[in-house]
Amino acid sequence: MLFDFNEAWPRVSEARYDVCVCGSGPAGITAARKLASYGKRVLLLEGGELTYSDRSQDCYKGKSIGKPFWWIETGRLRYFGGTSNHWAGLCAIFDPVSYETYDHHGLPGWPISYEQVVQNQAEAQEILDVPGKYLGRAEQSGFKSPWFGQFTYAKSPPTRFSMKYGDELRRSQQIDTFYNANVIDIKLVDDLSGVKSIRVQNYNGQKIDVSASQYVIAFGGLENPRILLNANSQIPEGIGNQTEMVGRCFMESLNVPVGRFLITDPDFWRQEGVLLVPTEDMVHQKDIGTGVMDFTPDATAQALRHAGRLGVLKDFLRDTGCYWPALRDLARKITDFTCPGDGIIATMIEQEPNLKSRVSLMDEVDAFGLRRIQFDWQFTERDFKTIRTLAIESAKEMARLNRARVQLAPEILDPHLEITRVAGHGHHMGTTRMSADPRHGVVDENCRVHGIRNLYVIGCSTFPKCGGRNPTLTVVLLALRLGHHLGRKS
Amino acid sequence: MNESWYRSGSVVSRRRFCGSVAGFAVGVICPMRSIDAATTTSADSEFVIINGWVLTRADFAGEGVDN
Repeated sequence: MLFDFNEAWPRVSEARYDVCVCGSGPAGITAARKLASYGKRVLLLEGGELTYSDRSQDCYKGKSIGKPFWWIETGRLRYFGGTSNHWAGLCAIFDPVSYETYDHHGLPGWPISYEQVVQNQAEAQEILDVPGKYLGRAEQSGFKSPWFGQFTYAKSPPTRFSMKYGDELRRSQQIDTFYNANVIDIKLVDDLSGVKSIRVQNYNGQKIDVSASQYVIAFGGLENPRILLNANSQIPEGIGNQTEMVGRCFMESLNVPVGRFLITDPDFWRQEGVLLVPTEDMVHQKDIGTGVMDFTPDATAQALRHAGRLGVLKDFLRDTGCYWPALRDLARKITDFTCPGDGIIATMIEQEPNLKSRVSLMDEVDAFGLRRIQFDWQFTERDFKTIRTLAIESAKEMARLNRARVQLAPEILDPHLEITRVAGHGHHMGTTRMSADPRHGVVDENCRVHGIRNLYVIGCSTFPKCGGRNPTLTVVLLALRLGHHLGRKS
Repeated sequence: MNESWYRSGSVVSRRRFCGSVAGFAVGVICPMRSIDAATTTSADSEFVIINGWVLTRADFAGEGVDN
């Protein structure tokens, strides 16, 4: 059933729930549905409305104090269906090498195996409307390299969870969904070993404590640590933060303009685009992270073609620059563009976990009295090594195989120059990282908060390594895994 | 920078970088007009990087396809 918490808030205390799931994005809805399939009675809470509203989105405002980061407010959506309401639909699974034992800076990697993560892949693909058997990397003719393999995304339509699962949730007798239901506190039992209740507030100021046997937090990579840090009435440092790991190790998929390319073998480029990912040998031998180097000819020009009010001007400059080379450099000072047959290399590069890259709380509060996030995004030397190595080695392979010639940016070639143009892809990961040992993370192998017997966290925030790929498929895989885990519990 | 193979031939073939895609002329960038120490950032037995372009032996006269 579906209820408006502004009106039906007293109703939430009428039922007994096995599991309370907080957050209705891909992780929350996936977990709720899986738990219902096991016969569990589920309470699903969404702080936003059924559609976008400024008053809900305002809760996502925060402040960036580290490397420039533009995604705090715009990279996520706070209403029914969560960020699935504007995601692009690109799906990927992390390479097995991402799950290998890893211990840079004393931070271990995944405590579970690749096989454990992908065991529900067919089910996850069905949820995301991804057809066929998706393997991630595909060997394709024409690019035989010991250092790189060709990679293909699986594509979701993209699935909007509110649209696909809205009717099911309205009809469900197992799941009670309340929107306009904002979680403002988590109350622990007296010995602090478990959650007693969570406090929920509507937009009219009415509050109520709701109880369940198990609790799942699925608010997203920035809000998951935020609620744990804000829930500090019984433990001053926040819940699950006894080792001060909540909010640390924030990771993004790094988006770095490394250079441009000119194709030299038109027949090879008849395919849609070429996405290169490093082989396991390369990751091991070079001691770097992984990532995707996207060589799609003319992609940026196509994107620019209809870009905003200046689209006509940009098209003119592009056409002039491409066919009148004397003016090309001048035109490029006004707007970046590519010509037919060349392209700008797009990247999605793995950032390594780093204690200094973190989410914490600032003093300013939102409409519900929760302190807003302060965000300090930081990189390591190894991050820059990964960026440079992937760029240079992929350029060499393109030349060696005579597929393209690459012109790399000066800061990529010269390690004495700082790489400043680093952006993200809206993937907020690592802030409640999974670890077998509480010293290195916030949740255990089953996404249970260390030291709290009935509190779980799901979503990108649990990733101890980010894999250099789009994360949604892995988010759904882990939500299913938790659903099976809790569903089997008596 | 001990390698000299990238200096031994003529300038990088322009035609190598030219062709056509969907009927459009390609080759508006012909990166090599000269090769000198100032524009050469690194070189080994297989690759040389000049003006940011990552090039191979095959890009130079005598080994290229379209020279």
